[in-house]
Amino acid sequence: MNCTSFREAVHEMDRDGLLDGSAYDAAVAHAQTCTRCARLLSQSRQLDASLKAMVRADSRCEPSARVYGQLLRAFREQSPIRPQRQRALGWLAAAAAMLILAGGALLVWRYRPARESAAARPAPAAAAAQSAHRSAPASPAATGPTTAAVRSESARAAQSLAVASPAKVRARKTVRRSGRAAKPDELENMADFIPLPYADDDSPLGAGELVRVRLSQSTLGLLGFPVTEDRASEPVTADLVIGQDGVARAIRFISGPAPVELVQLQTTTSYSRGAKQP
Amino acid sequence: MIAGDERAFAELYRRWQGPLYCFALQMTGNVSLAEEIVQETFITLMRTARNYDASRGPLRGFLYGICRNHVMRSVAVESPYLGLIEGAGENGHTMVELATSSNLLADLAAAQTVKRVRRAILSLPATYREAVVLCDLHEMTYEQAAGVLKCPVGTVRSRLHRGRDLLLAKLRNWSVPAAGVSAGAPRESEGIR
Repeated sequence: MNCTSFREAVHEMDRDGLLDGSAYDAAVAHAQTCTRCARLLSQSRQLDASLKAMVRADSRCEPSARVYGQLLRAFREQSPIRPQRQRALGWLAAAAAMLILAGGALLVWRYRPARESAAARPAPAAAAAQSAHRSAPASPAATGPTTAAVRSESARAAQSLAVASPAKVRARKTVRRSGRAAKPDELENMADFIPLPYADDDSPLGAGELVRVRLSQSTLGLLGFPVTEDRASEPVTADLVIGQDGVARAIRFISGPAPVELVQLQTTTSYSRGAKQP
Repeated sequence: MIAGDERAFAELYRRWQGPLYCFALQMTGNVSLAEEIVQETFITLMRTARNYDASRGPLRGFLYGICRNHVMRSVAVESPYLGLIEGAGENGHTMVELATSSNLLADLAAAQTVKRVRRAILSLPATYREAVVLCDLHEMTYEQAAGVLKCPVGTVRSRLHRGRDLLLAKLRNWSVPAAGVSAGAPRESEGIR
């Protein structure tokens, strides 16, 4: 071993397992013959001894208790329990939001027909009659009541009562035609019900009947609706609400090619004669 | 500890706070900075404990790696001031604890030696310093130190040799107390002097 290889090995001579026996013996033999390398080995061992003294000196040093206290607080704040709780709250908030949205959608869906009927608010009786008059088919077939549901006594009673401010029937209804639900476009060309002047009963209709009839405009005149002379013979299609007592309570004018057939009305509401129109 | 067991964390802290604090103190020479590094190390451990993979190495290397990163960051930030604070350990508890031993003269001499060595180590460049501290003071093998420093074993070896050569050059004219030599030199009986 020469001085160069000795300098490479000197720092590993006292480290376990780094130099095999023959290399160690060669290094020791070289140090016994070379004063400079012997001094280097001595200094290296002195350095090792000093480093061990430093290890002993530092073996008992610890950070202050303040460090542990702060770390413990940080550990409690970052404990997994906290994220789990936050996650649970997040799910709860999401579920609550979903419930609110679903409730809102249900309300909108539930009251949509009411809003649509409110959009087609009842016009004054005269306007409704005029609308029906304009849209009535110009068929000269029927010139009088074609249904026995409209009774002559009703017509006579109508003559004695004014129709200046008929109240609107406010009815939330479910109309079934031939066992199926009515389509919105089938309802769009229907005006609102107008109470007949003689129907002064405030009692609920109960299970009333809805009867579709074709009337001449002259008959409408008997009910108090304004009718022009030149179109008095033109028929008008309308729905009549017949109460349980057989008295016609209200009328609704139908515009468009609606068929004349019986329509069942399920209603639980009543109309008041003295009610004001909106 | 990952599951939030406070006792597990306390046990982990009790086991490793001393070595990590020593490492930080030996690397920085500043007590408060070393405490701060230990604190940051354990906070990082809390956040990244799930990243620890036992199959890739022991917990010791993982902890020392975190601590070493904080040390190097602090050294980079504090390097302009390290010259002013490198003697902080002289007034620290280390010296006080040594002075309470029975052999006062030997302890004072050992304290002087430790003081000089500590100062010499702190004056080394950081790359050599960490190799000396890990291999000589924390008794790591080259492989373990390479794991902490994330460099090849050969690099650790060459840095350690270079660091020790620099230390010897700095401490050329000092004398080691006889007790320290006899206690620390394992093969002094072979008579090389």
